[in-house]
Formats: sequence, structure tokens, C-alpha cells
Amino acid sequence: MKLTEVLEITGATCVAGEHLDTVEVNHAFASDLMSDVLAMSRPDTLLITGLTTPQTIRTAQMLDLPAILVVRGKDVPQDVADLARTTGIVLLATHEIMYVASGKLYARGLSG
Amino acid sequence: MPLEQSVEALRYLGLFSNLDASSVMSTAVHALHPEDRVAAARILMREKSISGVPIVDADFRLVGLISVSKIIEALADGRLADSVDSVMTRDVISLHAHDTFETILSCFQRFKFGRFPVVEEDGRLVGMITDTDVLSAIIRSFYSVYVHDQRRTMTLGSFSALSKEFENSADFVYGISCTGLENAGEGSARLKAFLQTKGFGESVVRRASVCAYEAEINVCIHAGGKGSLRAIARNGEIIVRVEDEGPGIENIDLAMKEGWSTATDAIRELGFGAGMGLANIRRFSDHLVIISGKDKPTKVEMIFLADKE
Repeated sequence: MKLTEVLEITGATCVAGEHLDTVEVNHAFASDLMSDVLAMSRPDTLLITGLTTPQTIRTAQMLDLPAILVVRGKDVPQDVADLARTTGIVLLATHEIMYVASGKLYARGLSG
Repeated sequence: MPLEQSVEALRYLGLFSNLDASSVMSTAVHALHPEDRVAAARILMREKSISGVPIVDADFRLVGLISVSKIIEALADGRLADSVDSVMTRDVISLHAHDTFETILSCFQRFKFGRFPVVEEDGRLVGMITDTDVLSAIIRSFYSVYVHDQRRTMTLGSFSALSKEFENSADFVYGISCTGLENAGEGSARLKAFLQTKGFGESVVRRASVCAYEAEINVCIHAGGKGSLRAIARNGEIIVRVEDEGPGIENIDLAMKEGWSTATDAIRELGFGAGMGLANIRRFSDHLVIISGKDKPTKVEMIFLADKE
């Protein structure tokens, strides 16, 4: 699934990153616990989380995740957005809660 | 460490059924022939720091063994110029290449010798097993090894990668210094970038980075944010070592359990402290050694093999 579709499905906005139509994700993983995310270790995954610390970006960076979808309308601090930009990770944000955002993406074919 | 004590515990684990004598033994063996002089055995033992020399015939078949005590006897009797044949032990307790790990252990228990020659069916000498070889095999076969006390550090030091190499010639060095979790992950990010320049595959780099990151986070959460992250990346393997200044892990077995953590709620709110750190490190590393203890520094060493992928 292209990130442009993720935007459209979840009503998200793009906080950091560009060329969303060229970035594709094949799976998604939803959690606020970064160690749980790290346990998964699959590169072409969209991380869905409500955690907006620099460690969210670092976690994605370690796992080669292309993009993060921040849920629950959380504000993304500037330093976190900057870190996403520096590391080349696309950062999206939606007002949906994690359950709904995940459900909508799943229903449209983005598997776990 | 008294080998006999740990033997009892290990037996029940049944973890070492894949180990036979040929996979435990050292193959770099120094042997002498019966006609060599006792003096030669003495020199060999001194120079190679070994406590017993197997004696073989022209076809390398084991015919005897000469130990330090025999040398001392020969010295006292003024027989250093005599042939080894005249002083060696002839009824040598030896192991066969296919003997099980349990047989090896019971040999050490029953006979109290420091070393056992290993022979093929036809009696040809193929190796030697000392207690260090046994420990070394245990370390290799354990997916993870948790070492609590300093004595075992000394033993491990001789065959794990916990060597001076890290002090002298690490390929990557980063000083961890964080307050809270603020820049936790900076070192691992740099390590990842470094490893990517070294021609390793994506997957092994990812595994090493994830583990380094978890270990770095642990330093920040549990050890006041002060420590070091070092790596050696050569010959198809990545060795990562993360060290801190304490206060150490009181119960490593407990700390390895998924879901167990001593982290505060504040840390949990930051997405960590869910008790998955060490469990993740164990999952993604090929070999893991953790040395710690109450009020001690913690050293975590992880090895990642590129050819496993």
C-alpha cells in the first residue's frame, strides 16, 4: 500500500517526508511499546503508534521502517519531526485512535 | 569453578546432546614419540603451558601420556635424558571422538585428570579435551550465557571475544552519555551507519542495530546513562559490546524473562521498560554473553554472524 493511500484512508497529514506516492508498506504494526515493535523486525512495515518521542524515530530507523503513523491526534515535537527528516523516515499524523486507524487500514488490505 | 558441581546441573538440562568429543576437543595437539627424551616433554609442557603430553607411535596411535607429576618424578630420579617410553603412563584413559558430552563429563568426574586424549576407532590421536575445552563448548552451544561473578569472567576471558581487542582496536567506539532517554539511540544509529559502510547484509545490520539500541536504552534507563558502545566488525561477524558503570543486574535470569522489568512508570510512558529489552537481544543475537552482578558494572556482548542469512 502506498503512503498516499494511508493518508487518504486515515485522514492523516504528513508531518515529515515527501514523495509519499513512491513509498510502499506491506504490513503494519500498532503499539506504544517500542520494545514490542523492535521484537517484530520486519522492514517494509508501517509503524502505528501514539508515542512521539525521538525513540519512536530511532526504533523505526533501527528496523529500516519506511514510515510512522502517529495516532490520537498527538502533537509531534519539532525535534522528533526533525529527526524523522534527517533519518529519511516519513512521519504521518492522524486524529483517529489506534484501533480505528488500524481497523481502517486492515480493512483496505494492509495486513499485520 | 568446580566443574563437577556444574556437571550435575547441566546433565538435567539435556542441552548438550549435540556435542560429542570431536566437537569439544582441541585439535591443535602437541604430542611426542616414545623414543623422545623426557627433557623434551618438559620443554614442551613449559613452552606450551600444558600439563600433559600424549605419546603416539609412528602412525599417530596413542600409546601413552606423560604428565607433570611424571616429569617431577623423573627430575628427582635424574632421568631427564631417558626416553619418554620409560616413564610415561601406558594405561591412558582416553575418549572416543564420538563419545557424548555426558561421557566426557563423567570422565572428568571419575578420574580427576586435567585432560583426556581423544582417539578415533583405530586408536589414532585426534585431539585433547581439558576442562577449559568443556567450558568453551558449553559457551558455544548455549544460545546465551549469563555470568555473574568475576571468577567466571576470568575463565571466559580466554575464549570469548571479551578480550583486550575491544580496548585496543575496536572498529567503532561511542561514549554513551544521556540524561533520561533524550538522546538514547544516537550511538546505535551511528553504529548502524558505520556497519552499512562495511558491506554487511541488511538483515544482520538490522539485528545488530536493534540489539545495540536495546542495550543502549538499558544503559540510559538503568545505569544513569553513562557507558560505552563498541563494535568489531570483520571476518563475517559483528561483535557489539555495551558496558556501563553499574549498579548491575542482581538477577540476570529474572531480567531475561519477557515482561519483567524494574523500570519506572516514567520510563514506561516513554515506550520502554516493558521487560522486552534483554529478551529482544537474546532473540536477535547469535551469541550473547552478559556479565553483571549486584553493584557491579554490566557488560553485554553480542555476536552476529553474517553467514547465518
